[in-house]
Amino acid sequence: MTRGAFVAVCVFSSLVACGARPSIYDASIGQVRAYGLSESVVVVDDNAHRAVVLSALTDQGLGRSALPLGKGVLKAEASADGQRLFVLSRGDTTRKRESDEKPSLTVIENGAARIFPLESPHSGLSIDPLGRWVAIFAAPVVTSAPVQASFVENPNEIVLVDLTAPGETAVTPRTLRSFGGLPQRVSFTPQLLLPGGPRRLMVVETDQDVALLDLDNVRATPRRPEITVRLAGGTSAIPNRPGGFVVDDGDPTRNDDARLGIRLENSPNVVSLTLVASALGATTEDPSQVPNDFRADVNLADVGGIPGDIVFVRTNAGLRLAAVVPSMKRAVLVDLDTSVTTTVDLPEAYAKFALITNVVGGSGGDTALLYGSGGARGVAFWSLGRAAGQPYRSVEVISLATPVASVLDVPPPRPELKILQGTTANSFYGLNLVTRTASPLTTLAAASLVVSRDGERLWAFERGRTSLAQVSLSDLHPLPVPLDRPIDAVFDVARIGGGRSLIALDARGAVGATVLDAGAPDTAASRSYYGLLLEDL
Amino acid sequence: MSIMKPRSLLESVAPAFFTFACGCSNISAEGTLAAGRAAPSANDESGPETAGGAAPAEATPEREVESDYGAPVATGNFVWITNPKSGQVAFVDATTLRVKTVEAGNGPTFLGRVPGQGVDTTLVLNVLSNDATLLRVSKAEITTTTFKVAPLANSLVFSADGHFAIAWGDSRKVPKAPKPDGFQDLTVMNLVTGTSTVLAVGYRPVAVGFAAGQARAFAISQDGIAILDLTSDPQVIKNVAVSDTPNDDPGSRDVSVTPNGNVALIRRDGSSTITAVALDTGLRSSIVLPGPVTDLDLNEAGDQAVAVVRATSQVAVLPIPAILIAPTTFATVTVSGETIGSVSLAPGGQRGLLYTNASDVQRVSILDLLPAPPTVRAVRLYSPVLAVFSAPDARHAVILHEKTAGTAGEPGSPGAFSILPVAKALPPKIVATFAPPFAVAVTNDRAIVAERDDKTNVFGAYLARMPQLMVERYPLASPPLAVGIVDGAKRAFIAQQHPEGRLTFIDLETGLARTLTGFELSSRVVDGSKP
Repeated sequence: MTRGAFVAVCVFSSLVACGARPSIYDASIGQVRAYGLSESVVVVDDNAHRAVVLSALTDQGLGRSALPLGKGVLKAEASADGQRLFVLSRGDTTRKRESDEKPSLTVIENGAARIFPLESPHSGLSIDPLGRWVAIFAAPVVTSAPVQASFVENPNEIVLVDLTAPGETAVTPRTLRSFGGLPQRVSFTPQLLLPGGPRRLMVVETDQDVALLDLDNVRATPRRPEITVRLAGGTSAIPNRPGGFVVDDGDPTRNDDARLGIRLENSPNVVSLTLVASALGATTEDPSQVPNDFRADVNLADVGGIPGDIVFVRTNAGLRLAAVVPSMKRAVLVDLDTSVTTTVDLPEAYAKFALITNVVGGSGGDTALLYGSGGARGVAFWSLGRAAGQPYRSVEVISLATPVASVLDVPPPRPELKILQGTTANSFYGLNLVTRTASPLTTLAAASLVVSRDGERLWAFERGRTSLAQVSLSDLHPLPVPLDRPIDAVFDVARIGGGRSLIALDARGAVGATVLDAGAPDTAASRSYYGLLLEDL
Repeated sequence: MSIMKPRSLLESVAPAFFTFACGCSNISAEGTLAAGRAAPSANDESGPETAGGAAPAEATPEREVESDYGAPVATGNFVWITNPKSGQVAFVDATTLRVKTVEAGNGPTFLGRVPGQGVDTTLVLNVLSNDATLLRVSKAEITTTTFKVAPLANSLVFSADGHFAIAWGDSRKVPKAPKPDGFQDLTVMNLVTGTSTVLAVGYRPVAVGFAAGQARAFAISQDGIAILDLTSDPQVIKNVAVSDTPNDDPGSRDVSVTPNGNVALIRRDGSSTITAVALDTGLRSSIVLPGPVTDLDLNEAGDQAVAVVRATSQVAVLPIPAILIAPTTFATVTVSGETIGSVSLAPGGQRGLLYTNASDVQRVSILDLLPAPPTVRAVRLYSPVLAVFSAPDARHAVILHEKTAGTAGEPGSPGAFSILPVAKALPPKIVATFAPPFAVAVTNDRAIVAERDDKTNVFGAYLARMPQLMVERYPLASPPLAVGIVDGAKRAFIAQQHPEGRLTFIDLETGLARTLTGFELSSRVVDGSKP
């Protein structure tokens, strides 16, 4: 039943009195997408062109409000800190009136929506982890979900939105020079000390090169061109495809040693870019532009196999780019000044790194957690402090029954904990980085895991079923909290008035929710809500 | 004459790196050890048809190892590297380490530094398109000029002022060249007017050079010494025989030509006679020494030659050109108690180092030519001598040592080198290496020595500071190919074997090392700036 028909039965006479009803009443409830923010849950009701904001209130109350969204939601994504939700909309496909909608970006923050009109629709979104920038671009087409927002798209057009700028200067479109590549990922670096001063960069990885754009001068006049690093020599038709990058600012007192390390998906080489001062008196080919005050020096190092992951690490001998090569069961340390590599044999085919020095410390060097799904059982701690005769101190293995597919961080006050999710088995582990213990927790079925933002608990549920459990992260004690309705998603949010609540969504029908006290979950004290998308129409 | 070390260049065992030696910095001595150290003679390679006049060779000839060393191509501020596959020449600014590339012809392979230029200038031979590209780089731009070149060219020499270049084919770089390939075409390039002329000289030339201050060049071949007049249309004006039986004697074992191009000295293995030839008149004189001459070296000024007689441990100092008309008037020094077979004269010509690498002798003798009669001081070393490289100011020398086999009570060593104070009577410092020393470059106060062992994958470089004799090792990620010094940037560089191209630069002051890998990638960074 459409929501219009449902509501019309109740308010038929008043609707007749009002004349033609809005089309929203005829809109069906489409696929519901919900996003958790730190203090609310936002349900995107695309067909109704609105976002329903759910807030936790005392006594398991649920506040509901609606914010307008542009028509035709193409993409929505929450920021990592849970402060904002970004929604890209297509707008009216054919604009017949001036009032018809253009493509837009809607930013939902603190219960309000800010709308940035766009010239054309885009399907890709990248959010600055520091909260200032959003990059909008054509999402790469993948086989499973071909998405193209409009009939003709220029994939190399990136629209930058500065969330701190006034509306008229907030949106800056840039078309990157292209050698045939299609952007795959857009990322933002932290602030780097470059020869021209502190800078932040946007890094665009295409399927064959990498582009760097100076964000601090993105609206400067004359314009500064981006720097494009092509990843294949001129004699090969096979492009080297970037598979991710890492960044390091180097010595905080130096402005010529910031580096990017780039992993290639189809090559055993890792590429490093050192950002150094551009040549004195440099000019640009385009007279309307001025050169950047930095340039990229390229270097290569062969790590012996296709690396699964790379990370900058600090050792007793200095900064190194570490690469883990699962096919060779080894890690490789690359001295970026000399390209000299040091190989470290590993007991398993680990494919991923996570630096944990800030949690466990390091004796003269970083400590990394090695894991990976490439057949590697368990995890390993790699201490990079020097020992006699080798540039690393130790590799200590914690053997688990299954390979580790992903690692969930636990926020403070328990950053020493990591939640390890296995690849196949119905289990997960609470890994304590300090005591180097891994406590298994078993489930009856494959569980979806959610770590609360306050670091106190973990929620495990079976998607589409009623099974739910809270696991206290202080002692890994599981508390079963089965609900009486299927669960599609759970959100541990801050409650207005203090405390935290769990909002468990049931996406069936017009969307329902069950609210529990997250700190002391008790279904007897919970409250359920139904037909959330029917409200406020 | 543009050649600094005539013996090295004209020696019939000169290596395949001769071309690069011409491109080296003129304030440093540089070298790369070629694979085979044993010394095949030009006669061997040319396939002598008669016995000629050569006496039977000694059982253990001196090995001309220095001439197996060539220098990478560096100009005042740049290091230049060819990529024959891509047709690009990469040039690396040794100060900023910025890499750029420029298109040359088809198959750019052999590079040479053009001397006497106000800007960094190189000439590259493109072996597939049979032409040469002159590359001049300034702050504003890089310019190119193309010259047609005769086929088979693989070597370049330049007049001291950079006015002329000659491209020629060194048959020793083509080991399996069929006998009818004479490599007789020389291409004279006038780098000022942009013209080139192909001339034919004798069979399989082994060295080509210019007469200093004159528009004249010469080519030493199996048929004698060809004199080239470059004043207007380049032409071969004569061919001077170097023996009384030129048809029977297909070539010279060791020919040195004075820088002014007036006199040639010919040494033959196993012979106690040196032949001096006046190239303008053809006058020949025979200088008879007390025994077979094992080495002959000409000083930089070309007014003195030093011949070594190992059998009698004697050194003969020959005045030039007086020796032509008075072949028995020369000084002889006997180095008592020492075994000497080779001489290496320092660039100034006032000092020389006497040594032998034909046997395991752990000594070197310093010959001082300034006093009359010349004096000799023997210095004890701690490993057999392989090769000697003098600093340009002759105050220090780098001595490479052979690998030593282990004995019951003493482990062997893959190699070593010594830094020898020459100007002061101080003991040398020996440094054990982890792999055999492979290449050397020396300035007045710094030396760079590369080591390479492909079997153990040990690669490294040593920076030696003089006069402190402090030595620091730098591990390398890949096998070194050559070393050199970029004067303008005060950096040493070590070119390495890597599919994408690799250079390690070492700051001669701070000792900081930086490695660049992937010249093509570096040059393909597009930042909108003007090339």
